[in-house]
Amino acid sequence: MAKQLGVGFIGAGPVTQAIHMPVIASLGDRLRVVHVMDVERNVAEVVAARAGARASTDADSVLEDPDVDIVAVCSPHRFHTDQVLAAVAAGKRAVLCEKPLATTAEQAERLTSLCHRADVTVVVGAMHAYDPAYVAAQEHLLSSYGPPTLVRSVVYLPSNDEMTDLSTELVSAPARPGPPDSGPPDSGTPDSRLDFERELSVLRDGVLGLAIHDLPLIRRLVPFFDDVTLARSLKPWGYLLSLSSPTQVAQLIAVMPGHWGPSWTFSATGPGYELSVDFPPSYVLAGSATARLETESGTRVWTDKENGYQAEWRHLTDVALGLTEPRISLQGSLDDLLYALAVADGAGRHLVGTGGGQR
Amino acid sequence: MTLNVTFDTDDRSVVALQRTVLASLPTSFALNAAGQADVVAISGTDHDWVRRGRRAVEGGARGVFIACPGSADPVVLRQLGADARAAGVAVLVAAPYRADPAWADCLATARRDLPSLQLVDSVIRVSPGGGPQATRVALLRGVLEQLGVVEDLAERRVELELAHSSEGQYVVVGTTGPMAVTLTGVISPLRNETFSLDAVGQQCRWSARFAGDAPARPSEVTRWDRSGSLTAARRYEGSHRRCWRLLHAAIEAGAPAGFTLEDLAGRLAAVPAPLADDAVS
Repeated sequence: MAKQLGVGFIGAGPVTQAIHMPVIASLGDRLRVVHVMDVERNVAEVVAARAGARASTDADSVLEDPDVDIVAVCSPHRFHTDQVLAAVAAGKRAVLCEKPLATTAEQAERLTSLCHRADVTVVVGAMHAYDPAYVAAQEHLLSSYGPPTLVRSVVYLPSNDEMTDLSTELVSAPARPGPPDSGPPDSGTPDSRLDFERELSVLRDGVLGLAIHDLPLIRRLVPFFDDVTLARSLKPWGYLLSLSSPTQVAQLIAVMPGHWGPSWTFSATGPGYELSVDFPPSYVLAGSATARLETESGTRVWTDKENGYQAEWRHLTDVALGLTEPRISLQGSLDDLLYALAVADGAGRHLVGTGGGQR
Repeated sequence: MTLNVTFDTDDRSVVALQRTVLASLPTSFALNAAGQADVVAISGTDHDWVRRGRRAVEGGARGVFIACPGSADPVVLRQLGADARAAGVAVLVAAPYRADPAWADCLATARRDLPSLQLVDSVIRVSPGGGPQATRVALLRGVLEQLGVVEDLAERRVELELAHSSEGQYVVVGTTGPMAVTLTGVISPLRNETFSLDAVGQQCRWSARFAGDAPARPSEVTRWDRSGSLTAARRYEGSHRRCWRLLHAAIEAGAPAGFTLEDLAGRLAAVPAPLADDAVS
């Protein structure tokens, strides 16, 4: 039996509680949670107690804990880069960093020094890039067919609360007064400057918070794009983006929350094939995507009992134990991040160019 | 009354499809009957389809069936429509998706949801034509079909602009009222035609998966809200057959044909220039 590795969390918010804790529980023969840190003491203590783990309120305690083999960075985005660097400096076996790895090119640059170190394993929590059915379909596609001309990621989701309630019984920090994350509240009165700032914020948050799940998939199929040729925010929250090159176009659409069931689809249309992928919601253990590749010779379908997070943690464990090489290198993850930042920056430029917020 | 139909098109695929459809309406229409044709069927895939349409109007036909919309000068189309009306000739521009019976069943409900809808996203995969020019015409037909369905839903014009155009595909974006509209077209890699439309708002979501090339394959139209989903009953009548019935009613009973040259002219005028221009170059 393989060694059971200890996992320490930096940040114990909804993603840790609703996604990672249940996934690690499903891989209990290989992983156990040994340390949970959160700036909210009550959250850290309750979440840790559920796993029989230690609790703390500072990240250094996780890094200094000798039982922590793998550090999971699940803090707010702006802390990710520093905490990944600190975990590597602490000599941990591996780091799983929730997306995004960084929020600026400058932060990304600070991580490049790690790329050439053989003793460092950093993977990014990009569940679709590890989804077993999608991975199998993509490998088959890239080895057998030419690049697609059209790629689409279309996401319609209910509220996160609705999904987390199906996955866990959330421990929340007490509400504090303060501005919301995504720009100023809707005043209901026309103010083009306010609208513009809000739209810009929604688009950037949308790219780095949600679209980033599928941008690594898109980058494999559309490695380069010339420009963002369409960028709009959608209400209540969402985006409409189009990336173009002379021969390829990628579209990203998201609307949430809505009073309807979730739908997360990904498709690629190319010479002689149609790939269509239905991803399950992120928060529940509903198995892998269902990937269908339709060609003139028939339709091939891939599916698996594990979702992308389970596959990713299983893979990370194997890498941490030296059983295999990372399927996506840190350099690959940084390239994915730079691609996402280029989309976010391009969306902002497009918005400025088209007078967004005044539509 | 049985109306005699003759074809005036070089597009054999159009003839093959429409002959099959007409075989399901043997009392209403007859093919290859002797004497003057009551209905002339033409196709916008022919480069000179407007000339053929005028020839039919001026040649004594009682009706003209335009199987596929094609590119043309909107001014010339409006004039042809006016001349046909003055001559008492019913003209119908077939609308394979707009006329879909299942979609038509749901349209009133979908329109009631309009105030809450924020996005309409449509993708059409059109059958490739034989050569670059035919492909451009196929893509133009695609955007015209999409625009027709969206404008019918919104009951107002959609202002469009081009977001992407490359060989074999386009992305067009627009706005109608509070709704963002995105229309994507691509040449189908599998040679079959598919058309999807999603209309999304916070309270409800619509999904229409229109039938493909088979004359009577039913479309699937579903509405989701907090109570679950409802999929409309399957209607095993293709839109081409419905269009032929509409034309018959227009000729025999003077009923409005519904899908007119004036509609088409309006949509052609709204299509961003590169797409419309490429199709006539």
